[in-house]
Amino acid sequence: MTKGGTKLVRDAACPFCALACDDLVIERTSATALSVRDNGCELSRRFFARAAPKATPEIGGKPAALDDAVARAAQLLGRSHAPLFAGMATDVAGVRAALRLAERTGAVVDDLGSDGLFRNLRVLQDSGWMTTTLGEIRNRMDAMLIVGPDPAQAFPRFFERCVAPTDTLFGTRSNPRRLFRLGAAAPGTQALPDGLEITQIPCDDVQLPAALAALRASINGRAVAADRAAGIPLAALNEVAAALGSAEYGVVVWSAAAFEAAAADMILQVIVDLVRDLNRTTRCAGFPLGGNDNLIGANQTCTWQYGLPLRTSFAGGVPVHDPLINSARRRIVAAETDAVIWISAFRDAVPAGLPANLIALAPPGTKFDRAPAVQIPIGTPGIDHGGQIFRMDNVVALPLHGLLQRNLPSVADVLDRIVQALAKEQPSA
Amino acid sequence: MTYVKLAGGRIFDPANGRNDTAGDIFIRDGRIAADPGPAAKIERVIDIAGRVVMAGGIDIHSHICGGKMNLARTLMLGEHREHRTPATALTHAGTGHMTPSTAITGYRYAEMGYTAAFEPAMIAVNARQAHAELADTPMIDKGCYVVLGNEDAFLRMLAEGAPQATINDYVGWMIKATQALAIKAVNPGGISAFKFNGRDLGFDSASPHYGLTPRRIVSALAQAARDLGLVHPLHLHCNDLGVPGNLKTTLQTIESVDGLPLHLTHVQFHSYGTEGDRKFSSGAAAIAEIVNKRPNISIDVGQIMFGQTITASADTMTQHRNSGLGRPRKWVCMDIECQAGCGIVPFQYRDRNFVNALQWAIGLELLLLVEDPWRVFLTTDHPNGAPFTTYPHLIRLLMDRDFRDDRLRSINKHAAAASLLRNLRREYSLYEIAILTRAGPARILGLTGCGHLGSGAAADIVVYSDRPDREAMFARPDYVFKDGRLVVRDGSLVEVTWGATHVARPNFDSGVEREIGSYFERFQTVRSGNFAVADGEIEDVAGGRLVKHESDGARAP
Repeated sequence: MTKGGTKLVRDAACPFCALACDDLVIERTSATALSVRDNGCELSRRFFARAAPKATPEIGGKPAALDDAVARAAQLLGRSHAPLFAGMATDVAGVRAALRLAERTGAVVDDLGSDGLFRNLRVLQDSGWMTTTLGEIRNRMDAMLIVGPDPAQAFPRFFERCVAPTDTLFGTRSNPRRLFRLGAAAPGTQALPDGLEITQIPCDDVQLPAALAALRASINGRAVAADRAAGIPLAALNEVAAALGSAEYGVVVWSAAAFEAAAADMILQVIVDLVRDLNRTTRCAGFPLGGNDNLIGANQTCTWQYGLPLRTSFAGGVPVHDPLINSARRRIVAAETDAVIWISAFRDAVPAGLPANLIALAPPGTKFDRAPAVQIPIGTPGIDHGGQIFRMDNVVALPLHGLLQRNLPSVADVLDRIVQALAKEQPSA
Repeated sequence: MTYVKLAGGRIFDPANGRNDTAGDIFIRDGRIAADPGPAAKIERVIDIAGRVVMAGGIDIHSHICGGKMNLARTLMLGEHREHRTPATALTHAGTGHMTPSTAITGYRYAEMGYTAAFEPAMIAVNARQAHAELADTPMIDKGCYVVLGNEDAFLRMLAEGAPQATINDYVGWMIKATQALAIKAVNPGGISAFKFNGRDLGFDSASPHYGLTPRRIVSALAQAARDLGLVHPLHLHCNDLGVPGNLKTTLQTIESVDGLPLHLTHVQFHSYGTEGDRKFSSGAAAIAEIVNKRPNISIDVGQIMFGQTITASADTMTQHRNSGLGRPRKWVCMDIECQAGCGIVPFQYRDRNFVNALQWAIGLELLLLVEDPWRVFLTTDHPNGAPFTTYPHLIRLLMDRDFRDDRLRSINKHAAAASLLRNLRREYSLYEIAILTRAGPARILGLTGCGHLGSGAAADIVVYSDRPDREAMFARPDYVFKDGRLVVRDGSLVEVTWGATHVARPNFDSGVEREIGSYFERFQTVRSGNFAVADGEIEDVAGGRLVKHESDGARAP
């Protein structure tokens, strides 16, 4: 795929959203620049074309040699009583290195973007669920209910790749694909591929649990003693219930991160329950959208290596998971950390709330409000080096290939050097 | 080059016909060496006089990697909070007992003298994850069987009447692309049927949409394994798992292959009759009888043990059907990428429960009634019947009739009365245990380089004290060597090493790749080139090593 000097790279996988489309055609426009020629979207076009300005590591905002930056990071971590990983956005090799370092230093591992993940994990752990993957949706789905915002806002090619295709394994199913969206009215709804129509049922987040409960009642043939639920005419919900009930393979999608915190748990629980109910008589599956920046891969790797999800602390030499106490955001706000590592190998946007005592591994050109204690420019998997990332459906991992030589180290390289420097500083494990 | 000498052990090495033979074992450069004579330089002599020596144990069916295990770990968070293993200077921290984290899995296997374990249900599109997890599993050799027989690509091809030669090329490509050692079928046709809302699929029932019977699917895959020259036959999880009366399906399946090699897995779950007041009875005698007559058939047992465990299977049809029986009451079902599925249901097997008690007895009946220890394998279908760490207990049940009878008295009385077990006097010998857990698995998987103690084999060696309590003996070996390195002393880890990943590389016509590529492009959401796992993805991870078992099977006409 990525043979030597050829200008065009076919079937390249894109790490810039959790759909991880792997059909991109990318052109090397110069020795250091790329352009997405085919099958791009606004995200992939922007991020693959991102320039890598000349950048050196910095210590306290001043240029430094990589060795010195690594040594300084090791020193900060070695002295820290409560290190915290607040960003785990890297490929599987980078995550492995981060976990090695976390175990070595007794750190807490999380990602500031993991709220949606943990909402999903909570309902999964409470009751389990029935779910599906992108390929099943593409080929089988004949009715879809979207709960919450338009998926295309965060995942631009979702409809094109999974909802719109007419050339499916099963040709034309007996039912045409019927689509509904139950969620807050959005001003600028994405233009849909030709031939797709979505029945919009406006509903604010706080009303979603009640609306979904009424939908579930309708699915189960139970009477609702009102002609409206959560302000929605019951007839509209009955229509959704009828569509899912008569579908051969219904799908309910949601993006857990998008809901208001107070309503999220209830929304997810009703979705998971109504999907199960439908499976008494027909087939239906849930599909949680989310997991950008290989968050799914970080959580998967942590789970197989330690048996526990992210938001795990290695402080006592034994991993302890607590989804509330070990939230990176909470740890930072409560000042329960004295050294924060933030890894962002894919994006150059800095989230709010990072503290001053920061070790940042981010693409060159990443701008911080305050200079981090240590900043090390790193390469992006799928551009500067190869690697593996997980897709949002938790099943498919994709290979990434290095497309350019810009002499940027990988996250795994830098973190392994920090581990080595730490071993020199503190020989005992 | 210097040698390590294990002096004066009692050698149990069935592959080389040594049954309690007094002798020395020499290790050189990670391998077992012939006696180098008196002039050789011996770096270290370990006196093992009177102790039992066997090759390292090999587990042919143990779910140790892939997305289903992470789902199981996630679902049973409490279990992982309860069972925590701290880091040491030597080892990583980890958690879990039923579904231990990857490092803990490797440590526990090595501590009980196992030096290889094979994941029997790798979903093709999840192969990259399965190998990434195995890359993080130390101590043991490993490998995966790729799940085929429910993926739309294959069913479509078969329904359109593709010749066997095309099927063979497709299967060969799949093995290579997923870095598999063997092929597995799970409820053939049934996982696909469930996606079309089918809730059962008899062995001769036409599947929804494709109109294919499980009989046809089994035949095509068993033939492909044979034609490609794979050493391990089709590894088959039959239809109707857990259904009372499924004995009939299992017997039909055995008859259907007409002499082709076939391995039936976790047969305990497929040996149920419908006799008695409760319409649930043991079919072990009937299964054992036919296995004894058919040299082309091998089985592993899938013994259950009492207590909490979690079942993880690609068989969504069955797992959804049984979801109401699970404890605690939470479960997962997943349809996967037009290839397979995944179902996770926690279970508590209780000794006072008639069905569970009889399941326990059926597994033991099978192990005791199948006469040829080369064609039956000791498994708990980890973690589905019980965690692999119960193997020493299971070995004692086989070797110690008094112990077994004592346990039999503690289970549900009606189940105990209904079982043949009280009449079975057989006690396995150490030699038979060495076949069951070492020589047999190596032979059925084609692992010529391990499972025995002959010159040239990998120096995977276990030394036990001969204790009357066989459970204590097998739980805590005195010495375990992996590739010649001493890794366990008195049941505790002393060195961490990394085993190889075994893969099959059958010869096939690579012209099939074009058609597969266009299929992926039209219907799948991954391109075939990205679906395939490259050698480097395994070899470039620290400790990674591939052992390629090539075969040049005769092509089907």
